[in-house]
Amino acid sequence: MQKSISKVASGWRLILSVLIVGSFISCEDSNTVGGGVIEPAEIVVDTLLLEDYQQDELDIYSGDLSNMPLGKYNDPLFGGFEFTGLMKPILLGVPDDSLNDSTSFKLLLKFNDRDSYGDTTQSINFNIYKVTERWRSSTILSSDDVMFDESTSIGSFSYTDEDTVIVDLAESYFLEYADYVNNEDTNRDSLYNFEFFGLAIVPEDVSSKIVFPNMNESNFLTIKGEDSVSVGVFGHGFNLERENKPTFADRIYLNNYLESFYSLSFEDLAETIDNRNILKAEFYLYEDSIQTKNSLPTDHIRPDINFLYLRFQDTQQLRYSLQFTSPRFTSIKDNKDKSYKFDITDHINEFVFSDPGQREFFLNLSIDGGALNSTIFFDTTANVSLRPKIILTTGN
Amino acid sequence: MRKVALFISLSLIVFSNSAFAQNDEGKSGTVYSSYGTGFPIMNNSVQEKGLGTLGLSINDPASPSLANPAFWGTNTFSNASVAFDITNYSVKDAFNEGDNSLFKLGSIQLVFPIQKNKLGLSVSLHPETITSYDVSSNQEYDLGDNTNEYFSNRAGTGGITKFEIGLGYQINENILVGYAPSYSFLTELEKRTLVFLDGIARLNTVDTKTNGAGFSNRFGIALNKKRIFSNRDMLQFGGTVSLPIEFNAKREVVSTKIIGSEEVEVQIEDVERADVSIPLKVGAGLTYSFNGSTSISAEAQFEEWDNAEYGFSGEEENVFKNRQVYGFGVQVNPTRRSTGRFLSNIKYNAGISYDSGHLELRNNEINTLWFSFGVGLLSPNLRTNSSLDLSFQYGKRGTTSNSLVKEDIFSVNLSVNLTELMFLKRKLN
Repeated sequence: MQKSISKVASGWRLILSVLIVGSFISCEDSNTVGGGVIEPAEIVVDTLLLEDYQQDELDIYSGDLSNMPLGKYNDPLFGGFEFTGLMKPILLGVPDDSLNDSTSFKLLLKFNDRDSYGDTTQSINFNIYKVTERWRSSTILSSDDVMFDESTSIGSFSYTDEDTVIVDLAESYFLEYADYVNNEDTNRDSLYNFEFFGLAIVPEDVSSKIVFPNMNESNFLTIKGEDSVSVGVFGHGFNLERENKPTFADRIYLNNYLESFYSLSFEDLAETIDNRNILKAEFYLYEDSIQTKNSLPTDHIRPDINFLYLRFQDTQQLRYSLQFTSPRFTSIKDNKDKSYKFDITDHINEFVFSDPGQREFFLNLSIDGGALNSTIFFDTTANVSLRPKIILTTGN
Repeated sequence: MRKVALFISLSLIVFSNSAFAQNDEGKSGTVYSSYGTGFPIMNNSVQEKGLGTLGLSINDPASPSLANPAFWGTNTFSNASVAFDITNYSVKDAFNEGDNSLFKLGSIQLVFPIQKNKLGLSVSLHPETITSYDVSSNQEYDLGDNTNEYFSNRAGTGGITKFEIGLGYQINENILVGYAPSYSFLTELEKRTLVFLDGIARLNTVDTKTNGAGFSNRFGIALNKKRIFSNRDMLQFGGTVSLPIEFNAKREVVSTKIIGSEEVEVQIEDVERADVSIPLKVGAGLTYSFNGSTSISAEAQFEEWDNAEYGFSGEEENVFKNRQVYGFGVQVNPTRRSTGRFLSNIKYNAGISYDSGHLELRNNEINTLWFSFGVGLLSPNLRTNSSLDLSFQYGKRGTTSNSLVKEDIFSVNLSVNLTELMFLKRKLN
């Protein structure tokens, strides 16, 4: 009896084992059969044209940016730009061996990461003058007109397309600097701050190019015999003078020195949205690349832009927010159709399902480390396909 | 008693695992379960599945059945049964072929003889319909002059589950009646996933949740006559009526969106309420037992799906059509049990059934033809009626015309049936 029960039990166990193993190997991937019975999710694409935006203007903080624009160029589309650079060496510690007239003083400018702006066939000449009034790199604005002594040049140089330029500075200027370095009084730092104002790098009037030295690698040098000592930059900045500022009747004009930026809101458009399953909301802007390209003479170049930003104003003042805070949305240029696409889905969903809190965006170009960028976009007067718009994709 | 307690515990563990598994991606059933409240499920036992019949006129104390409440009054033993099935669907449409598989718990049933061979109580939890599908595709849409692509997936799970407590009463040797009220839960979830294939992939999911509950009633009757043509034969008639189940169902559609840098579940449609119903079902059958070891059965059931409601979608409601199911089967128990041999404790069932289906899509009836075979393994211990039933079904459903799906279905069903003398005092230990 016991033997026969074991046989039955073995049979049961065998069948159960097959079933259990079968259950574990029965997983199949979701497959594509059945699309005619179970309809796929449907999507609907709508276009909402953005009509409401306002142009605005500010000047930027021009101090201590990565690149310092130098030069002068009259852009046929965007007008004349003239940049005067300002630099001041740090005050070295009191040396064991005093700096004297056997030491030479030089300015080293590195040009290794930026294309120039303007005529690529021409050289550009600069004169260097002593600045005659106090300025601070932490607060200087591009519109601040800092005075310098044009009667006496303390150096000059010409630039074509070199990686590095080393400029001899006048002995008189160096000795003035050396007085502060050699000064052992306790108030030497404050004297240096309040009495020594650095130098101005001024383009000659005939210039037709703007260059952007890399200020993270530029510095001053003291050379005594074969010994060379690097002298860091205490602060730098620039002053911009504009001529023939452009006014575009039928284009959106953006300049990264905040000469032109825009405020806009998507609130009115969001209120028109019926379907609440928003899969994508994308804000499109189309660059007028033909006009920007055709406006330049042969052999002239203008820095390309590739990024565009939408920002909220944070608790800081607007100028600071636009220049230094992180954007809410970033767009990279699609070179196929020169469009910029912002994925603003989350912002539109905030309107539909909540309260976005901040509603006003600012559209601007990146400060781009100090390199000058300007461009234009099609506005509400353009062909519908090129107007600023939201492409809204909703689902069922 | 310990055996039944252990059985219930194991069943609940398996049930929870099975429910979890049903939500796993990659496991799905028929694509036709996407309509209404899902695909209707026959509540016949595994033995009756092997026999190809509905179980309305078959009474086997070793294999309790949900099919006809009238038989619950005939038990001597307390009986507990749990059924599982693994089903593989080889699916094909005009463009593609594929496979779906589904492992699920079929039912749990406990039958207690309140009065031996007179009055019995059945408690059960079993599915009435099942929704289980998972279909993906790549789609295109126009955006200006460009054509973009997106991936779409729709996966549904759930259905109607019935908690039923019923009584069966044997009026006399030839007449049995039963009544089973139940409370039914409608729980369905459809997940729609959409991923754009251009640029940054952003996952969009929409969950449609449908819930409801409703009462229902089932009645059964069985009549038998012995010694018609011989001393050992018997003819048994069984019939059942299941009244419609009506739900005032609620549907909400939610999605997860990023609001204020956080993922938040939001309602993307207003909550909707609608009437949903499962229709009247009337079934009847005859089983003729030649000599106690061989029997034949012929049964049929009519379901009035023309009157079924699905208020959430008129389009889906309109595809419902009346359903008829016909089954014919033979059962043979060739040897007597207790011989000590494994094969001598096996019942054999075979049958064929035709299900006209409850859907008519694009003028095509979604019917199913089933071929069944089953075995019942009886416990060699004469003091118990425990058994294990195993059935294999092969079915052909649907068509590939009119963008529909043809399914070749292979199903393995297993039930474990444990019996015990729970309420009877043993005279000897």
